Parts: sequence; structure tokens; C-alpha cells
Amino acid sequence: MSDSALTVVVVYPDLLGTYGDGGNGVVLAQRAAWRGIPVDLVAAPSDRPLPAGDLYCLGGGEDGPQVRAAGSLREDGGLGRAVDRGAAVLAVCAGYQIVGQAYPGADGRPRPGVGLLDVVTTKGAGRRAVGEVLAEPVDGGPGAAAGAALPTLTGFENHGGVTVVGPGARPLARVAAGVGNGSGDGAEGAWCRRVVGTYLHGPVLARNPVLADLLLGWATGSPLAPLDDREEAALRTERLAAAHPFRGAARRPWRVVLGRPGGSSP
Amino acid sequence: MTLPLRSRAAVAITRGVNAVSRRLGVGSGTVIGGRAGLAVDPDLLGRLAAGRQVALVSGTNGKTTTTRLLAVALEHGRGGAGVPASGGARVGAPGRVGQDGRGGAGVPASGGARVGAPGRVGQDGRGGAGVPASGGARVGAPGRARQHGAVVTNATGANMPAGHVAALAAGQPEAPAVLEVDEGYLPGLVRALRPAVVVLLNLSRDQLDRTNEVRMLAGRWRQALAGASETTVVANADDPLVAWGAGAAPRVVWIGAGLGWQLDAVGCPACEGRIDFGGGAGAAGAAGGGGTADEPGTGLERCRGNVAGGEGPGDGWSCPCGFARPSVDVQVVGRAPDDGAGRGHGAGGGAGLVGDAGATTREGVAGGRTEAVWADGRRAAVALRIPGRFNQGNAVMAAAAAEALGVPAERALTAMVTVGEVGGRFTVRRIGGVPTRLLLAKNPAGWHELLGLVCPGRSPVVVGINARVADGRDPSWLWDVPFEMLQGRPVVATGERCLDLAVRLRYAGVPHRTVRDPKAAVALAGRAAAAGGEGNGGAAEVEFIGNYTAFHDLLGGR
Repeated sequence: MSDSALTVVVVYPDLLGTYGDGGNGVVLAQRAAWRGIPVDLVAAPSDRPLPAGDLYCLGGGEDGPQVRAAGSLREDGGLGRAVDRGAAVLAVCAGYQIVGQAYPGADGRPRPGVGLLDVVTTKGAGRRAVGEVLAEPVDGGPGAAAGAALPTLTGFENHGGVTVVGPGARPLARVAAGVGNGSGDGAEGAWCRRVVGTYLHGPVLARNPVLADLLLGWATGSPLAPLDDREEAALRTERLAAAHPFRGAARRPWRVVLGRPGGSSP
Repeated sequence: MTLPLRSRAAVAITRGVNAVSRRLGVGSGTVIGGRAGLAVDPDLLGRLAAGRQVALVSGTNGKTTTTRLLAVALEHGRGGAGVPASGGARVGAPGRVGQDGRGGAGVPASGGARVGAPGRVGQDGRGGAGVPASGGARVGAPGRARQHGAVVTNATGANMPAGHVAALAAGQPEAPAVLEVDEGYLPGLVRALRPAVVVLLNLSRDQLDRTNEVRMLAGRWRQALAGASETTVVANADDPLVAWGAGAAPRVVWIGAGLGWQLDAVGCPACEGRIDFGGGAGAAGAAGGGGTADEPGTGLERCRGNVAGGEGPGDGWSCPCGFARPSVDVQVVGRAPDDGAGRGHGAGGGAGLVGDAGATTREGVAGGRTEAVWADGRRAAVALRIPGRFNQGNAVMAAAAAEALGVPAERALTAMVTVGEVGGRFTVRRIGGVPTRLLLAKNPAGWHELLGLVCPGRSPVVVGINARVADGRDPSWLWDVPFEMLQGRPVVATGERCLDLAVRLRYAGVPHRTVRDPKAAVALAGRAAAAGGEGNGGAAEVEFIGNYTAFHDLLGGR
């Protein structure tokens, strides 16, 4: 592994690999490689020390594995040190919840998170939030100040948690369709420093390549050459249109918004 | 067995509604009538099952195929019911009597080696001879003579209670039933039907937007089966989640059937610790692949942590808590001639190398010899017309189930050779004039298997993806599928979510065309096959792999 290469770490795919979110690491690494940036993509298993890296991706996972992932990350401590060094983190769904201050265990009781993002998640009272999401970045999102405002975010959510963003972090976006954080204010996701949390699967970076490039830009510290993103653009157009009729219906229950009969099979 | 009036009315309604449904062409006529029947008599299912042998087949992948294999094994294996066990003379074609007759005695050994010979398929399967010595009491009972084919089954894959009611209502009241069961419904059906046999194949992620987490399912299986004192569970010992689900059952026949996808089983269902797959695969392998990719671009596909493969048989697994792979009663062995270890290639971190994953699942291996080996030393060849190592595992599971129902496993395996397709799967059909092999995969584990199957070839591949309710509405799982394996061959992305797939293929480094209409996509691939076909392009074949509704759209819309 060369010292000069950009290192993308997919954190604990054995525990947080349930919803295709490992694709975020692939998207980051490919977009670097296509630009000629040397890159290593590392899958970091939960039974080994977390390797040093420039970009960390955490994905969704089931309740039990989520608890173990949080425990291992807290014990390891490497993620916090990496963030202090300036590494970027993209945390999705269960990963988003555990980088926060607290999250619910399988039994619903609060458990301590890794504490990299000032959010607290509790178990939602109603049904899981499942469905397509459109979300407008708040004030252009984390990159706006540097001239890298995000466009509308698109993704698919599937979670039972309610996440409240504390004063130490900012909401990433506000839902135009779907539920997002479910905290009653329409917020979706959160960010602080170079840590970005979201409920969006898809994977989120495949559907939102500008967000991928924001993270890459943080990691490389230099401007990124444009890529031919026609296929991503076509996908985005389709997904935005598919969710469009529900714009403005954000705080209706997801099953009303999307006309779904209900969650799990009986 | 006389049904109460209410139930008889419910049966009549089930049949009537289904007949109308079929006549109107609004459906396959299996579900709607069942719903109507259940509305009239909520206990209909248990009543219809009473008095007959019932086998249930469940698991994430392979349900429909295994159900079919087991049904065929029972139909053919006990064909000519009522004929006493000595009837070897009636068997099949002349000259092969000896072999078939041997099978009837439950004696194993070398007889199986002949099973696979092509061209003798039909006759072999019919061999009606020896009703087995043990267990088959009902089969040979006088007055019960069933025509061959009298097994009741939900062959169309309608695997929830309405489909079960429809299947049972359509069949003879005492015909044995082989039912494919949705994983979530299994506990309820075990309690309602008190089946003689339950076959548990595997558990992995599937349709996450609407189904339960797999660990929860395994726990519910375990609860339901713990009290199933009349049931023999035939369970895949290579899947820790299945082992957990079956582990509390009073009677289990453990099969070392293999497991191509281990990533969903890394977390121990017993203690939340971490399952160690020996030198095999799982996350350790994935990580092993990840650390050393020096070259940008080329290393990426090798490093994805989401794909874990490793053919299970021979791989032990265990958790520090003590939960470990049960010792098996039947082991599926045999690989390509050069892979005598029978361990797959998971060792050395290979499992994480997406490009290699599933190599031992290749079709070529099916041509190699695969055998079922019993703990007592019996052996039987596993030779099927349907492709894939995963289907060989399914076949051995079905054979063990057949044996529990009184048909010797050797005979069951022989009968299975008659199966050339399952609901259109694995068959080659002309789609707009293009010979197209039709494959169905519904989730990462299934895709992993089928990509391994088509992987050695060079023919064009059409991949069809929808995301309707039956498919799961979130196609994020595309990123758990090692599409990198398709590098170097013509690929067409199609289906309602072809744009999601196109982006996935782009990042997998697979050049492709995107054509939303599946038939147009096959036509395009057909032109590529003709153009690229070595030698005149005549009958170059196209592979079509679709998820559930994409597959059925193409199959139905021919």
C-alpha cells in the first residue's frame, strides 16, 4: 500500500454491509481512479484494528450487528483519530446512527455511539420509514461555502429510528419526499466537520455523484476534473421524476406518500 | 378424510375462483381462489393437509427448484404405488434393470455413476420399483394407488398460504404434498400443517424493504421447529442461520450442501459473536483481498467487501461461543478434477476477490462428478440437467427429504434427472428468434450463483432489473452483486430499473448498452452474439438473467 495513494476504507462490511452501501466505497475509489488519482479501497473487517485512511464509509446493518459495530468502533478509537487528522466520513443508516452520541440497541434502550456527530437516535414509535426520498440540501450542504453546493439528494430509506440533530451538527438536507430523520422538522441527515451522515441508500453516492466528489475533494484537497456522468444524470432524472408527485408531502406518513400497503409480510 | 361442510364449500370456491381467473386470463389462477377459500374457512389449510404427507421447502434461494425436484422424486420414486418392493423387473428400459433395482433397496454404491448418462433420463425416473423398506408405509398401502404424478405441489411458486390452499384444494385429498413456503410464513405453516418433512435451504438478504431481517427469521424458524415432534427437518449445515433455525428441532438430517454467500451469516445467531468460516470466506476473506491493491482501477473490483463467496462443503464454521457446524449426515462432494480438496477457493482471502468469487460454481463443474456421500459410506452420483453447483446441493437436500418420506435417495436423485427446467428457469427459448437461456436471480446470493454459472462463457449477457413490490422496491442490492465478473463480454442492461443497473455496471468496469425494453435488449444481444460468434454466428446463444418480475415479463411476453 503506497503512502501517496488515497485510501478509502469500507468500515466493517461484515456488520454494516446489508443494504448495498459498500457501493459508496466503490464509487469513491472509481471516481478517484478515473481521474488518475492513485487509490486503495480497503474493506476493514470488524475483528481487526481499523486501518488508517482518508475516507471512511459506514453502511446500514441489522440491529444486532449494529450494536457490535458500535462497540468495536468505540473500543478501536481509530475512527475518531482519523477524523481529528482530517479524514472524511460518510455514514449511512445504521452507520449514521452509531457515529452519533446515542442510538437504540436491538432492545430499544439507548446505547452510546462513537460521538463523531452531534445526533441522538431513538427508536421510532411508528412503522419503519421505507421508500424513495428527495431531499433539498440545507444552505447548499457542507460544501456550499467552498463553492460546491449540492443538488437535490435522491435515495431510498429503510429505517425505524428517529434522529435529532443537536447544536453541534447541522442537518444535511430537508425532505421533499420521504421521512429522513423523522424528527418532525423535515431534516434528513447531518454533518459536522468532515463527517456526513444520512439515511439514504441507493447507494447514496451512486445516485448523488456531486456528494461523492465533495468527499473526494476534502480528501485530496485539490480541484477535481469533471467526469462524464451522463448515466448518473439519467438515473437522477428518473428517480427525481419518480418521487416528484409527492413533493411537498414530506411529513405525511411514508406509506400514505408512496401508497404502500404496509411494511413486513405478516 | 371427510371435510366439514364449510371446508368443502371453501374448496369448491377455491377451485371455482381459480378456474374463472384462469379462464379470464387475469392470473395464473393460484392465489385469488386460495384467498377466497381462506375467507370462507380460515382453518382450511390445516384441514386440507390433514391425512396426507406434507413436505415444506423454504429458504431464500432454490425453493422453487428444490420443490420441483422433490415432487418429481416422489412422483417417480413411488410411481406405481401399491406395487410391492420387489418389483425391480418393471423398471424402466431393458438392460438397466439391475441398477434401478439396486436403488430400490436403498443400497448405494456405484449405481449412481450411471445416473448421469444423458439420453436415458425419462426411463430412469419412472422406475417404479422398490417401495422402500422403511417409512413408506402409506405409499404401498392397497387402495391408495396413485397415478404417477399425484403429488400435490404449488409449482408456480405461489408460496404463501393462499397458494398452498389452491394447490391442496386442486389435488386429491390424500395425495402427498410438496409445498414451497415463503420464509416468513414457515413458522405458521409448520404449526398448521405438522409436516412430515421441512427442507431448509439457506437464508440471506432479500427484499429488505419488506421482509424481515434474516437473523430474526432464523429465530422464528427455531421456535416453530423446536416443538415439531412429528417432523424431520432436512437442513443445510453449511449455513449458520439455517443451522440455528433447525438446531432445536427434535429430528434433523444435516446436509453439507454448500453455501456460496456467507456474508449474511457472519454474525453468530446464538451469541452475536462472530462466526469463523475456517479458511473459507466471509468478511475475513473480503478484507484480505482489500489491503493490497496497488494499482488504481485494476484493484478496485478486487477489494469490495460486500461480496463473500466460498463453497461451503468441507469448510467448517464455528463461533467461540460453541455454536458450530453440525456434523453432517450427507455431504455433497466433488469438484472439478483439479480441485480435490473440495474446499472451494475461499482460502487465502480469495472470497473477497469479486472476479474470482463463485468460480467453483461454474457450470463446467457440473460436468465433473458430484456425489452425495452419507455418513455411513453410501454414495450416489448427483447428475442433473439443470446447471449449477447450487442446484446439486438443492438436489441432495431434496433426495434426503424424499428418503425421509420413504423414497430411497438414490432413486430420488435418478428421478431428478428428468427435470430440465423449473418454471422456465434454466431453459433455452427463442426470444424474437434469439436463442436465450433464461435465468432468474432475486438477491445477491442468487446473483452470485448465476454469475458464477455464466461466467466462463463469452456469449452476450442481458441483465434485466425491475423493482416492483415482488422484487423489492429498493435495488441498492445491485451493489452487492459482483457484476465485475461480466467484464470482457457484451452486456445489455434492461428492465424498468435499467438505469440503476447501468450505473452499477459503469462502476464495475463493464461496458454495456442500456435498452429498457427486454425483448429489444435480447435482440440487440442476439446481434452481438451473431457478430461475435466464432464461425458464422449461426446459433449463438444469449444469456438472460433477470430478477423476479423482469424474468417473468420476458418469459410471459415471448
